[in-house]
Formats: sequence, structure tokens, C-alpha cells
Amino acid sequence: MKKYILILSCFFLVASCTKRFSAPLPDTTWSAFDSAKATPLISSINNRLEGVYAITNGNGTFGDTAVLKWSYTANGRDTSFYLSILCETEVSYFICEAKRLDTNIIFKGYWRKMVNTETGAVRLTISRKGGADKLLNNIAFASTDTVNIEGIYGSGPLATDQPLSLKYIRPLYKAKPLEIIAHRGGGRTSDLLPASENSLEIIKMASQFGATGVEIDVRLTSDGVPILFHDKSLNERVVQRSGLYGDIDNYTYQQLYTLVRLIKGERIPTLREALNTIVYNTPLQFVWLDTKYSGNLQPMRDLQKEFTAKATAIGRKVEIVIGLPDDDAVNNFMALKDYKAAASVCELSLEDVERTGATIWAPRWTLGKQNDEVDKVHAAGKRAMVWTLDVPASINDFITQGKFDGILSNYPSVTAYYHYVRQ
Amino acid sequence: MTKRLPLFLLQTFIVACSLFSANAQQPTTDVIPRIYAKSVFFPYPMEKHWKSSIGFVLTTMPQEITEEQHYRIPAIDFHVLKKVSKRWYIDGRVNAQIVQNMLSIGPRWATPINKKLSIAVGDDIACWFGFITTEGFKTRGGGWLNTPNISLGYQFNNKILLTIKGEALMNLSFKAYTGETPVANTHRLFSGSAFSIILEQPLYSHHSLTLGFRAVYTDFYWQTWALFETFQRNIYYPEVIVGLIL
Repeated sequence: MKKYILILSCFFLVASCTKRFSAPLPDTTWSAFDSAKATPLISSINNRLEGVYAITNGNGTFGDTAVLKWSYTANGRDTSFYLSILCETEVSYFICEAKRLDTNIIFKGYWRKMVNTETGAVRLTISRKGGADKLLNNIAFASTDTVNIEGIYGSGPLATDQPLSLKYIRPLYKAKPLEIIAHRGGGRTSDLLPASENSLEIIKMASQFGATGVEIDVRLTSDGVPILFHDKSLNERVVQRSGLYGDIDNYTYQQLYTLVRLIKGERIPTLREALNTIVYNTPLQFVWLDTKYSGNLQPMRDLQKEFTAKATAIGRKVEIVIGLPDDDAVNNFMALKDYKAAASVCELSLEDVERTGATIWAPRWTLGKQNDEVDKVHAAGKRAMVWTLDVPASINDFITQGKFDGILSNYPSVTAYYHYVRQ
Repeated sequence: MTKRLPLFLLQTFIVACSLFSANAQQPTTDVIPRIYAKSVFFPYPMEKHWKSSIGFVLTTMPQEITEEQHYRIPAIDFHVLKKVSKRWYIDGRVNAQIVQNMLSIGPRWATPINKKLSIAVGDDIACWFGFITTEGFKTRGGGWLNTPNISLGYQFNNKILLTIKGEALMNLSFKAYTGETPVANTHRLFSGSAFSIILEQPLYSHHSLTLGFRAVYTDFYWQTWALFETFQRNIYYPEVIVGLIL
């Protein structure tokens, strides 16, 4: 009998455990890149590298085509530039830093597939003949010239030794703009990204995923401070164990600041901190404040006005819109004295859009492309955006067959891919 | 994805070998001893022509899928077995939640190993379908699932039967529509695996009780079709199985 009990115990030890998934950032160390010989690139070459590229080596893993797009994170006078390589296959992307080494341009970074946990390091080079000469010396490309990027990538902890080659084929599609909005500041906890959802760190990464804007969830603490938090209560999906449980609006901001950490260790940010980060540290141009509380919206409205003005003052156009997901939020919004002047995004009916004076209509994606309704919205001088669309084939369908002006997604990288590869 | 099937087979093989080798000194016999306890999961050649049970299956949806919501979705579970020959029978099940339902059917080959242990292997084909209306908009989905399976049974005495079952989950197809627009049309051949432990014992009169726990690890679980989740990793879905054997 003991034998059977032992066997059964072993069986269930193996079979009945919940696996904790993770996708840790790989080691991207590259001595050539980190050497003193490698120098920062001048930012003027960035725009010239952007485009649609053919993947000639590595296409079995990442697909046949990639979109190359630059983004940045500004920290005072220091600005870090990132090259994102956005691919279709299994929602894969690369995020790389770039430097000049002699007559070459070199890149180091990592890749990730969003639908699973696959990740690895990558090292790329544009040789002098591959286009670096003209890029570095600001020489115009002839019509027959192209940019060739060669390199290697690894998988997980394995050696970085798989060949990867990209060849420029055409510029990015820019005929009709699309707002590419990253959910929860850049991505959900369950997407296993390097930073927690609704954190300052993930907001700084959002543009690296191809996003032009972010959606963030706003709640009020018990002392009336607007903070970023999705769930109604503190729970282990989003925060580390702290001993605090229950509804988040039972706690003061100071209590949360002192005692609670998000799942990756960050503090719960205030809305003020988030907007400050967006305006001063990122190229993001659109902010959707998803109203997650019932009550006075004046604190959100005040911050909306303040940071819209601050962005304008530094020469940036950042559109901040207040989300109206339900009737309660609509009533609280219309209780604001100047609600007609406040930019808002209404998730309800077209009549509600009219009634609230919302600037954007945002239906759920499962309601379909609704091209006739979107036409009506456009005829009224408003825009339409759809949420939260994650199925890659549907994202492509909405982009190519639909008329929406923006897509909110947990996968901004593949949304950006489908948008920029259009011809 | 192809790495998951060998893992399931390895786990099942280890357990099967362990149990089998523990009793290898006792040869299999052609005369099948009678067991008196009623069962629908216990892997044993059928004596009666029909057996059936009714109960429910309660599945807890994982946080990766439902986030802060904690869904436990009960489904009515009707289970029927039909004897085909000495060691063969057909196993059929219906899991019904009205808005989404699954029907499965498959053959079993069962044999005793010795007085205490028995084994069955089988392969079930299942069809599932669902209809959900959200904000006045109709969503529908359906698919086919194949589950090769192996069960090992142990009789504690003539009344308490323990079954351990391993299944490979193969989603042969999955289609979903919002209105008439297709939003999913795919398959995941090696979706994952499931492991169950089930106790069956007399309850009252001629009826017996089934109590079971099933640990499902899959990258697509049919009851989540309407959430349109996109993860391709084996997420854990615990299931409780309760049934009354009629």
C-alpha cells in the first residue's frame, strides 16, 4: 500500500502543479557593443532606417516581413533611442539599441514572442557596404541602393548563433494615420512583459512596442488621489503580497505608496506621475484615461487640462481623453462644469456620443467593423476607435477592411506591423 | 508545440510502468473477475450492457484568462457507457451549460492486470459548440477535440475504486464568429494534457458516487472560446467532477 501511495503522490506532484510562466529578458551582453570604440549614433539617421524590410534569414521564426521603427525614452537631456523590429509571426518583436563601430552600425537587444514565452538575444550589423556608409555620412541613397542588416539571434539561454538578415524594401505606410494604443500602459501582467501593467516603467516601453498611445486605468484612493490600477481590489494578480487586501479605494495614497508594490516591484503610480512621464519622457501622443471609479471626475479633468497645456508648452501635441465606459461615468462626466470642452471617449451608443459631446466613439471589437456607424461618426467630425482587439487576424481585418481611427490592443506590435506594411 | 505530447506520454508511461511493475509477478488472466461496485470511470471490462451517471463538472477559470474575476463554471455532466464485447465498450459524455456544450464519444479497451489493478486505453472525439449574445450581438463558436487517454484503476476493496487517468488534448479545429464575421479558424494539434484522480464508491441503495479532480493543462480550453484569448502556453484549469451513478 505504501508503494501505491508513494506512486500516487509522485504522480500528483508532477501533474497537479500550476506552472508559473515567465519570459525573463535574455543576457544581451556584447563586448563589441559595450566597448569604448562603439559610439552613440546621431539621431538623424533614425528616420532613414525606418521602413518595411524582407526577412531573408530567420523568416522561419519571425515571418517574411518586418517593420523597423524607432522610438525613444527621454530622461532630461539624455535620450535613449530604440529600434523596434515588429513582425507578424506569433506577435514577435525585437527591441534594440544602436551604436556606431568604425564604419558599421551595430545593434544589440532582444526578441520576444507575445503569445508564448519565447525570447532571446540578438546582435545585428549594417556594414559599410550594407548601407552604413551612406547612413553615417548622410549621403542620399540612389534608387538602386538598399539597406542590408545582417546578424545573429539566440533562443533563451542558448548561444546567439542563428542567422538573421533583413533587406529594406519600401517605406512605412503613412497615407492614413492610425492611433495604435497599448492596453494598460503597454501590456497586461499576463503578457509577461519586463514591467508591470499600469506602471511608469511599462509606459516608457509602450512606444518600443510600436504604440503611439496608451490606455491607462484610473482609480481614486480614499484620500482622493487619482492612481493607475486596473482591478477593484488589491490581489496577487497585480501586486506582491503586502498584507493589505480588499478594495483599493479603502486605502490612502500614502498607505499604498509605503506598503504596496506592483508585481514587478514598482510603486503604484499616480495619474500625475503617469502623465508627467508620457509628456516628458516618451513620444506617445494619445492617452486614454479609462475611468475605473464612480465619483467626481474633476481630479481627472484638472490633470487633463494641466498636462495638455504642459505638452503644448514644450511643443508636443498630446491628446488626453477621459474614458466613459458606462452610464455612471457619463453622469459624472456631465456633472463637470466644463464637460463640453473636455476631450472624451465614449464606449456607449452613438446617441451617448452625441449627448456627452465625446470626441471619440469606442465600441467593443466583437460588435464588428461597423463601417456605416464609423462613417456617421466621421461625418460628425469625430473619430472612432475600437477596443480591445488582440486576435492578430482580426487586427489585420479591422485595419485593411475597417475605417476605425485607432485600435486599442494588448499587442500594439502586431497592430503597428499590420498598419505600416500596408501599401 | 510538439514538445508537449512526448512530455504527456512520458509522464503517463512512468506511472503505468510503476504500477505495472509493482504487480508484474501476478499474471493477467483470461477469466475476468466480477467486481460489485458501480463505476463509470474505473477502467474495467463491462458486465452490464449499459451504465450511466449524472452530475456536474465545476471548472475554475485561471487568472491569466479571467483576471480579477473568479469564474467557476458548472456544467451538467451526463456519462453513459455501452458494452460492445468482453473487453471493449463505448464511453460517451455530454457536458452542458446551455450557452456552450460538449459531446464526446470514444471506444475503450479495458482489462484487469491482477486482482487489484486494471487498465484501459481509449480515444475520444468531442464536438463542442456555443452561442453567446453580448450587448445584442451574437457570438458563436465550435470545434473538435480529440483525446487519446489511458486509465489505471485500483480496487481498495470491492467497494472503493480509484482511477487515475491521463489524456492528451488535441484541438483539431476551433472556429468562432461575431455575427457572421469569422474571428477564429485554427487548430492546435498538441494543445496539452489532463490528469485525473477519481474515487467511486457506493452512496445509497444501488447508487454510487463519483468524486474526481481533473488537472487540465492546455493552450486552449473550449469553455474560454468566447474570451478570444491568444495565449499559446499551457494554462492550468482545475476541474471538480461529481456524479451519481444510476
